[in-house]
Amino acid sequence: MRKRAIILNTAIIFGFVAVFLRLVDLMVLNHGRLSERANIQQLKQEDIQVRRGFIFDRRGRELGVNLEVESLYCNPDAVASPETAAYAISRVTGKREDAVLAKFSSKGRFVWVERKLNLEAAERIRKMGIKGLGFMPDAKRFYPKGRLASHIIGAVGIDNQALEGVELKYDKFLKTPGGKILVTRDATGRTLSKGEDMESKGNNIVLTIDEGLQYIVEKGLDNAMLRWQASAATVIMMNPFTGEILALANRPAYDSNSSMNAKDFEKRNRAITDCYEPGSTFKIIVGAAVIEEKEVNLDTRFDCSKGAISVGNAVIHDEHKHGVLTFKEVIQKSSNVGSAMLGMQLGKERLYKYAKLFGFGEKTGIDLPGEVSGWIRPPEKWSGMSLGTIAIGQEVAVTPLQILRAYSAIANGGILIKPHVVSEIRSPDGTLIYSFTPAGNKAAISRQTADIFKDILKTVTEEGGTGRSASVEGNQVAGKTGTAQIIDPKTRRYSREKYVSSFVGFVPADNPMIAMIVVVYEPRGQIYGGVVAAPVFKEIAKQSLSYLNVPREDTNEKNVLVVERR
Amino acid sequence: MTHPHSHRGIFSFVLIPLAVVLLLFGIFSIVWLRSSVRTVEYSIAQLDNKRMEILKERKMLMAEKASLLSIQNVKNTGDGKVGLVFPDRVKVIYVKKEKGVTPYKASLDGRRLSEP
Repeated sequence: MRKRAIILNTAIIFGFVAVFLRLVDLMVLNHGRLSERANIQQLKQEDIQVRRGFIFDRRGRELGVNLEVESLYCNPDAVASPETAAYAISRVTGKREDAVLAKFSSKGRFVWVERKLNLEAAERIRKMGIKGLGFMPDAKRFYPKGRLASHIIGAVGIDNQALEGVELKYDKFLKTPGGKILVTRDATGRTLSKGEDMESKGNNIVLTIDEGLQYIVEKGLDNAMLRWQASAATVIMMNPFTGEILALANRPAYDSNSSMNAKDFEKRNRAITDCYEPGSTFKIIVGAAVIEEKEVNLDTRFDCSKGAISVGNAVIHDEHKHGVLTFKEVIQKSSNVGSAMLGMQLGKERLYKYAKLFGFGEKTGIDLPGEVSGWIRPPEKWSGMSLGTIAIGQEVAVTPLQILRAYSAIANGGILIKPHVVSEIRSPDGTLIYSFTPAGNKAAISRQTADIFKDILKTVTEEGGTGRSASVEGNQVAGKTGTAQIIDPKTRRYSREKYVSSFVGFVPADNPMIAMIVVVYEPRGQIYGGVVAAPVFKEIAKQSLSYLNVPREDTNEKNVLVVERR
Repeated sequence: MTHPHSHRGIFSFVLIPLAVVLLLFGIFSIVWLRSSVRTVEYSIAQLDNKRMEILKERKMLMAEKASLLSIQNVKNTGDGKVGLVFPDRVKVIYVKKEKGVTPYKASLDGRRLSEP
């Protein structure tokens, strides 16, 4: 009995020792090697899903968001029946069957079949159970307002890479680096949570534009394009005190959701990338300069009765003879002869100096890609006629935004502000990362000169002015018309058929809420800024003032409901 | 002579089994704890997946809402289906808010309604 007990005890002890030794082998001696093997089996490296930040308008309305989609890939060798699979997939995606089949004939073990499938389509394909297919979670940039503000917002490519607009300019804020994360999975492939977020989101951008104003502007532009059968048109609306772009639109335009299909000329943001000779809208430079330099007063008279003036080798004409005009009338009636006289009185150096002070020949610094600086030659390179032609807005190349900025300086008391489209950048949790702060704004002219010139610009939209059709009922508009010839690239001379018609101004004149420029390229039927662009200005301004709840200045006090706090 | 023997008896019959039970309890507790952690990890992973699905749905709904609430849509619906028109500025009544204390009191022509 005792012998048996000893044998049993020995066997048990031996067994325990064997187990212990094996444990030492597994847990101490081979620990490193075995845990490495376990990790290979259990740990899986997964991509952190990268999502671009959202883009909002100034009131927090979404302009650029992400949609969760799936991308379909295949291992061509593993697809058992390519023809059947191609047919089934083409039925769901709407893609040509032979195009899908071509994917299955590709070499390699990983081939994209269809990118950015919506979740419903992906589910339908998944349910087909076709072997050799796989799905990868993906994000698709989606612009809920379609074509609206596409030249500001921009677009991204198939891999969400920035291509245009704010998407491109602020790409480093919108995108996020992403990375990899290790997840543990069991034998059945189920993953175990590490408690880490599998999604990394970029910062959100708040724009200065207002969807409502943008819509009004774009509708006005569409009407203008239709009415004048123009080749292109641009409207920019800006807060003249802060430089916030409230709306910016060009025609032709494109839908940011299908930017791949857009043509280059549709993608051009003409407001900042295209130069044109401004014509009469440039006369504020010479006008403001002569007031600032105290060369003239409002009643100084200019004899424009001949209807033409010789400057160097050129003869500058008025559209019709005006007679003797006061300085104020020279601007109001947009007399070329009077403006040329002002230019000659001012001289080359001072005219150039004021053009530079108003920011011409330099980029405005707007935070959008592709801005050009325009063009004005230094005085030493001017010809004999330059003094006269530059005074009336020829021999200079400007962008619509540069002109609008110059007029904003008149509206705000002489300060040349920096236009911008991004107001704020916030992290996904709402922390403020960047907020636009005006810095380095310089005075182009004195407040007194600006106020005097503002009064002159008011007369342009009054009886006898060239911009009468820009006047808005109830609120005074200050502005200027412009009609400029386009140089024909074939003849290298001014075309007799192609013009650029424009109107630029601000409203209400004494307390401006908006400054706006309308530029219509190559209108048909009419050419004058006062006929073509001014009515567009009026229509947009009228609706915008309603939208912004700006009261009419002529409102009968009896119609004003006054609410008091007691 | 009997005293030490009874001590050894207590040790053998009570303490050793107790120690074994405690040891086993400890081992099983650790195993149970680790298994529970795994179960929780599975649950969290499931909830994570569910959360991601719901977030996806939320994003889709947000995009749909943004499309539906675009000014263009609102205007088209207002003009076409509801028959609304853009306000005529002449007929708009502007409400001036003047400083003071609540509650608000409405008056016309700048006069208080409460006045005789």
